[in-house]
Order: sequence, then C-alpha cells, then structure tokens
Amino acid sequence: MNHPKIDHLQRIADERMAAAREAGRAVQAASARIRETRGDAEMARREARGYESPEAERIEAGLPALIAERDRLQASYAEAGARADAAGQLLNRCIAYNRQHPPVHRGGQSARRSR
Amino acid sequence: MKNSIAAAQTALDALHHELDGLRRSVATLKAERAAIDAKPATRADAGKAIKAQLTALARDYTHQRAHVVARVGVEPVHLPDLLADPNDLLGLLALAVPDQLADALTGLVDEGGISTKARADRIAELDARLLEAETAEEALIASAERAGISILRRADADPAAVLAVPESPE
Repeated sequence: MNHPKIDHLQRIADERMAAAREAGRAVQAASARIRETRGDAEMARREARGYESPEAERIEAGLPALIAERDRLQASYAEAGARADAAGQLLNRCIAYNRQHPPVHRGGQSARRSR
Repeated sequence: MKNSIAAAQTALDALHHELDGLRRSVATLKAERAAIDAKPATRADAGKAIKAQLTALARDYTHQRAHVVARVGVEPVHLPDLLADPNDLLGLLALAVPDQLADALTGLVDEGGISTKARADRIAELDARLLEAETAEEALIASAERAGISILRRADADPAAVLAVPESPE
C-alpha cells in the first residue's frame, strides 16, 4: 500500500500532466488555425489569378493576432510542462525514498530514519 | 466584499512571503553545505588517507607480482611485465619507498583544510537545519492546500520532509 502522501502527490502529478496535455492540445489547435488561415489566404490569391486580392489581405490581417495567441499558448504549454515535470520528479523521488525508508509505525506515530 | 478580497490577498501575500523566506533559507543552507563539502581536507587527514591508499597499493602489488618475481632465475621472466598494469608503478613505489612517496604527495596538499570530524559535524548540523527548514516549507504548502491554495513543490524538495508532513491534519 502506498504512503497516503504519495497518493496525494500522484494526484497532483496526474492533474498537472492532464493540464500540460490540455495546454498542448490548445497549442495544436492554435497552430491549425494559423495553417487554415494561411490556406484560406492562399486560396483567395489563387482565385484572384495574380491580381491584388483584398480578400487575401483581409484574411492575412488576422494572422498576427493568431500567431500572438499561439505564442502565448506555447509559453503556457512550456510552463505547464515544467510544472508537470517538477511534480513527476518529486513524486518519483518520494516513491524511491519510501521504498528505501519504509515508515516504522509506533503507537500510531510513524518514524523515519534521518538521511 | 471588497474588504474580504483585500484580506484574502493580504493573507496570500503573507503566505508567499513566508514561503519565499523558507526557500531562501533552504538555498542558503544548501550552498553552505556544498561549500563545506568542497573544502579540502587538512594536510594531516590527507596524509592519513594517502598512506592508507599507498599501503593498499603495496599490498595489491605484492599479491599480484610476488609470484612472478619468485620465478626470476628459475625461468626467463620479462621484468617489464612487473609494470604491465597502470597501477603497478605506484604499487612498486609504495612498496619500495612508502614514506618518501607519502611525504611527497602530502606536501602537495595546501594548509587550511577542514578536518574530517569538523566536516562531518558541520554537515550533520546543516543537514538537520535543512530538514527542519524543508519540513516547515512542506507544512506551509500542505496547510495552503488544505485552504484550497495550490503551491508548486520544488522538484528537488527532500522526500524525508515532504513525507513527514501529513496530507491532512491527523
């Protein structure tokens, strides 16, 4: 049976991992929006057959905001990943420590050897 | 309502301030520990360690090469074989001139190092203070979690401190 605190740390690590995955999906979605927008602008230019395309320019005018949003999400993803990594690393170190220093129960109190 | 939000913000700021203080203490203690760990040994302690190593090298050399030397005069023995292993030269010198070798090596050690006992005592003291500071840090994080405030634990937090503090009050 796991140490109750390890179960708690596991839940935190799972939550942070899920948050990082969600942030990753948001980045993918934002990147897809940028690709679609570029594709739409390209299509509008082809339809203009070499002439100026106000439609393509209108579509492309939205790109900087989409790119900024993707970059913001990318930064959030990196931060969420770092948080998930930190939680995972601590969890693994606590699991290893708990294996090496199993708690000794004395009258309801648990005692551990010092490092 | 406005007052409640302000009070909550003040409490949160106080929590982070306390946490920052504890984390600074942990970082300072770790740096002190690393500095003690990095200090050289005293010349006397280094001398003892050098002599112990030379004694072991001389013993190993005798153990591995004596039977070869014993065949000199009986059969063709190629003397350079006595120095075939990289450790052999030091082993032979440790056997032939142990004191001169120990003195020469010990002379390379600067004065002003820390004794083995002083180093162990200081590290034990710093470890105790580190555990105390990290346990206080974990207690603060656990109490914040109970209040619904999530705080990221350090990836390098001491598991002994993290596991010593229960998830919820007992």
